[in-house]
Amino acid sequence: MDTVFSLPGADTSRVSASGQHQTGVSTLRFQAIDLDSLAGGSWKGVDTTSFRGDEHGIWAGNGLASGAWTRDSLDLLWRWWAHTSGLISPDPSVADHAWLQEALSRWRFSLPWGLRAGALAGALMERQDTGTATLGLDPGQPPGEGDAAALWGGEASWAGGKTIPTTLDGLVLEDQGDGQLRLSRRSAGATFLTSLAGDGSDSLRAFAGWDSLRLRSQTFLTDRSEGSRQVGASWTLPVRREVWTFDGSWVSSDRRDLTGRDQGQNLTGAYGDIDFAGPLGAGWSQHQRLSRSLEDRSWTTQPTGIPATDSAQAAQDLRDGDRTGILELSDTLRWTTERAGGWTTSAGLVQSLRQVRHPDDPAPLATDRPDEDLSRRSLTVSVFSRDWGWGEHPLATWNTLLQEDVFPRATQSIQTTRRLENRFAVDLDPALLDAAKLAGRDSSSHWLRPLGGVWGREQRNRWRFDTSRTEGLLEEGWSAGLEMGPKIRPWATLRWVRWRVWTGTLPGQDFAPDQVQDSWAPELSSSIPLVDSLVLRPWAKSQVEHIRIWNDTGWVPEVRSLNSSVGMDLSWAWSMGLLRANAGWEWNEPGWGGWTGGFSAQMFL
Amino acid sequence: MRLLALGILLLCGCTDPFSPVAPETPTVGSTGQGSTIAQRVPVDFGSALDAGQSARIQALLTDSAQLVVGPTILQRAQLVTCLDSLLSPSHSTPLSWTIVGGSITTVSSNLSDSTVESFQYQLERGATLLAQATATWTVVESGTEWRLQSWSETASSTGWIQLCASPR
Repeated sequence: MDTVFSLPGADTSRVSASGQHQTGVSTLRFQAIDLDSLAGGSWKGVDTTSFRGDEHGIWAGNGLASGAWTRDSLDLLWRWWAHTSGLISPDPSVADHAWLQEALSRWRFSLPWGLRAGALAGALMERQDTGTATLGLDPGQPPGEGDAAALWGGEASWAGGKTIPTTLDGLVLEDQGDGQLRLSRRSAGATFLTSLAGDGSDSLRAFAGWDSLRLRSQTFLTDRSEGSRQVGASWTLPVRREVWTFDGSWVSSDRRDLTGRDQGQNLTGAYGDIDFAGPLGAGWSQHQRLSRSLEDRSWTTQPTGIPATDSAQAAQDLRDGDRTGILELSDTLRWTTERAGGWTTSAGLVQSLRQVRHPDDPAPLATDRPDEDLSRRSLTVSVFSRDWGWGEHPLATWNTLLQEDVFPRATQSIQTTRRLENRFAVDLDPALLDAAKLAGRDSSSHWLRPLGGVWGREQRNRWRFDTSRTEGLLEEGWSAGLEMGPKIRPWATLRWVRWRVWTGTLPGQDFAPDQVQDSWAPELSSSIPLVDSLVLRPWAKSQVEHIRIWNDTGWVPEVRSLNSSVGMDLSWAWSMGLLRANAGWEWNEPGWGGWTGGFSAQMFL
Repeated sequence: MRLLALGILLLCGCTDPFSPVAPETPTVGSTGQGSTIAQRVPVDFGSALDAGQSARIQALLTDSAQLVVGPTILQRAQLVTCLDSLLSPSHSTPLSWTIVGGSITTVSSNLSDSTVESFQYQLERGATLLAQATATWTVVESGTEWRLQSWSETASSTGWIQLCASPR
């Protein structure tokens, strides 16, 4: 019920600022949040402002300031949006500024039978200082200079029900004006919660909602209407040692851009999930999930008034309409033992089929949106360790993917492909850290710890109707490094990463690479405590890429590129805040070079 | 309920509901021999004309390709018939297609999978000039290949359309 008067994120009083400069583009952001008592009531204020300067030194900014005051049964809300562009431009005539303010009051009161209600009244106003590049809201029309509208409405809600806890709420907010500035919103919703078994062992939650929005504003350069309707239910129940969940929902939505710049869309969707998970005994557990969704989309383009164009576009809109169905089954089997470092092995099979059809396009052209069946089967086996690993991050993973991308219609079926991919990764960083621990030394404090990992990937792509066309890819890489100092904040970390990617064709079952990308990426970072919590972190990193091409007689060096950067970060945390700053220099061959920098500061009040 | 769930899963395994449908055999206009880049379409079209390769020319046309000359529109089938008559084995002398100056101008396009190109061409058979005009071609991308979607010319006595009216 309080979506109109709530200020998201306003939980504690604080001020923060941040900025970044990279590749010639600068950004600045400020935020202030104030929670206080004011005139016998409670006050919340949020101000967020951001600026962006491009490589030509021209700045643009956006701001949103809002304040909400509540006392007894009275709520007041004020919001101010503003944007400006073309600041510090060599041509001042392109600069434009616009703002929109909304002021809203609500008087809350109680009605019989536990009903709570509110009366809303307010105003909306916007002003535009246009520049030569300012777009009009309606294409071909000059931009407006400003307008105003009155707002009025009401809301009601009810919560109750002993056996079936129920909430009902509704809102109507209407605008009154000349129709140039509009904000109108209507919504209604209901939720029910109950237990079908009657003993509370299961829970059934059902909901229904309806929402519509009409917004026209030069400040936001939008004139649109949106609506949505949805119903759904979710039922969770225990079945022996397992938990079963059934979810189902239906959604219908529509969106219209009344300026004609974007296509309007109607969407109807039905979604369902069955999920069950539980232990199997002796450390084994399983999790199964079956999902099904069905969506129908249709499109509408705003008529231009030119009959030939409008009829052609209407025919295209009709052909673009699609029905998309997704079926997915995920089966996961896990085995966990507490022995020798808490090991878990997980095997997951995910199978899915996404089908797209265009029922109103019986004879599609090659350029029409294609009918498509995307079938994926993926098997993943992972090994985790509580003591030797990163927790949720696996120590070792193997994945096999079989993907078939089928375009059924004759005019598009030439694109039909089949992909087979195998990949593995082994991350030995934590294992090597704890190898020292296994040797009887405390890995958290000894001075030198090795780091390491390897990974690999192979991929085969074949085109069903174009057998001369194949693509293969082979990738292998490794990383090695050293950490010095305490584990929680190492004094220095040196890492060297090397990977190579071969791409080419697949004659028969062989792989004939015709390009090799060879990359090295050394990285060095350090952490130097200065005073108290003030920490300096100098760093340097580089990536060298070397590409060679096979020219039928031998490998020829083609492209070499270098990306390097060096800099330092500074961080300082104290009881009321946090300050971070960084500065660096980056250079690329071939390409751009320059300084990078940034800061962020946050202080709680 | 568990048995029901297991039954559903087994059924899923038997019927394989995750398998895609079988695709239809591709149409001639969509198979394998389009041009790799948009600017190659007029060049490849000319090479195929010079070599008398009707199938290659058809592969360079989309299924909805058309020739537009003033108010006259020839659909793909009519255009193919016209090209076939030009390439008829009864002609002992091959055709020769020339892009005048070798220059193809990309006019404009606001779509990433469509390009509009303009060029001047000449079509000769031996020493006889059959056609000469400025053509505007809209070529479209399908998959990784480019094909001719629309060929338009202003009406003239030396344009391509007169070849289709009276094959030679």
